[in-house]
Amino acid sequence: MSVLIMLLFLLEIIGGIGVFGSEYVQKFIWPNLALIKCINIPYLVLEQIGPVFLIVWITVFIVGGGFYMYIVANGLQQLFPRLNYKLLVLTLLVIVGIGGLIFPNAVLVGYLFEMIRRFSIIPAIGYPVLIYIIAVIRGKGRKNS
Amino acid sequence: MNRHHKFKLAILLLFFLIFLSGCWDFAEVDRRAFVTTIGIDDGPGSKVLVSVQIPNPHKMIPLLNATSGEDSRNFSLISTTASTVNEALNILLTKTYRNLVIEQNKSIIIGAKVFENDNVTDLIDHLTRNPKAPLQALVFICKDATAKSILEATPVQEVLPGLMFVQSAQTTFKYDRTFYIPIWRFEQRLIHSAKDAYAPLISFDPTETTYVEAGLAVFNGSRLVGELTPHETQLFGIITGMMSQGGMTFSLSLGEVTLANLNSKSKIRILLKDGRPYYSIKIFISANISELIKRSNGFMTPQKVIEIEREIEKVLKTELSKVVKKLQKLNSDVLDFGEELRVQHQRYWNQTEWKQEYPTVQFNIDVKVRIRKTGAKQ
Repeated sequence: MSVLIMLLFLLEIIGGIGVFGSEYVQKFIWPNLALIKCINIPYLVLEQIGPVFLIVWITVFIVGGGFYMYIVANGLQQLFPRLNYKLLVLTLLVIVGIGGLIFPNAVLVGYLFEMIRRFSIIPAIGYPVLIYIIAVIRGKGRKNS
Repeated sequence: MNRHHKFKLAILLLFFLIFLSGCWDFAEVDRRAFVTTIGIDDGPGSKVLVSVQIPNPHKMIPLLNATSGEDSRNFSLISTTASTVNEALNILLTKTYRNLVIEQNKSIIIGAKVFENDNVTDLIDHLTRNPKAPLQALVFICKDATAKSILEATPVQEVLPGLMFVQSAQTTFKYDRTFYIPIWRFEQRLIHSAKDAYAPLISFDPTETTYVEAGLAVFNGSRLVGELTPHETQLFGIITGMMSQGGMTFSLSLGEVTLANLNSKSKIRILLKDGRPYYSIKIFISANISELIKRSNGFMTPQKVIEIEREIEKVLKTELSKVVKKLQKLNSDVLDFGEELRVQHQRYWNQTEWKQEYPTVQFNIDVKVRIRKTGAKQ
């Protein structure tokens, strides 16, 4: 599922750059939505597929979001078995909801993501290393003599 | 279901009641002024004159049509001057009792004089930034007239002039003497460093009371630098491979030959010769003979067809070269030579100042014509 979502995102990015070009694509806050808006279907009732796309997009977004919530909540519960899974998911929902509302505009979100992206490699590599160090310290994973 | 669960369900159902209030800010369709065309002209000082064409649906129904003394046009035109297009549209709200809706806008007509004083990228900014403005709206440039005068005209052929432009653009056969462009593509070309923008020219013929959509306005950056005649526009369509159903007449030794269903494909290969790009343009054309006014009688033979093909190739090669040279002189890269260079020789592109190089770039055009159908044996 996750691979499929990433593949769709990749196709969309390639499509956006392919249609708008590297210079023009930077103008849009949501290039994928602009890309959909550019599609013109003459003679069809709506003449565009924007509304249809939004229905699909929101569905995919909610399913994808739900999937990531499951992964995070499941992972956290494995780390901290005392946590209640259902309450954990609800807590995450509140965090994600606040995260979505707290930023005043998309420009700030883009700016923050630009900053975070530079350091995103740290948890990706750092977390397994941290787990390994803790395992070594606690003497876990060794064969009992 | 126990009592506790029933209580939970009742609370849930009550919660959904808040969604039953419906759409509180909706407006009935007769309360909406659907803008079909927006005209932008040069206003006094640094202002712009914005005109919008709004259909009057009740006047399109014959029984409800205007009585004597009332304007019998199926649309109304309102206009105002303002510092920006967005400000003008806000002011225009005061000129109609209805709600001005630009979501259904089909075309944007820009007066040629605008380009003398204003930056076109700034002018169309609202129409590409505003999520309500359709990105598919077509751009037209007014030739020898103002956008307002074009919108004021009442052509005999159509109920609503604003839709007339769009219907033309939806016909493949019309991509011949002009080439239509939506606003997003127009803006993309304006800001692209390896391309230049073009837009179809529009004028009004008062004697025949109809619009004439022919020729192209070509740009160098955001400046309007020249025009291509309808014939030159056809040649532009051949080089770019955009012509798919064209028709052209050639005066050959055999007689006057008219080709129909002319379809072109082009391949551009760039070689670096002595440190400079050299363009090798190969054009493949297939077409049918739709008219042949012969200078002598006789049956059509395979040899004659080949002769016609070779002669057309010769004529086209000269004419196509003239168009490329004209565009080079105008420093307008509407043929995307820069884009081809950027794709094929990235390193060279990064080092070069394309706008200085383009006017003197060397090229060679090879044309291959294939006649598929002759229509008759003679």
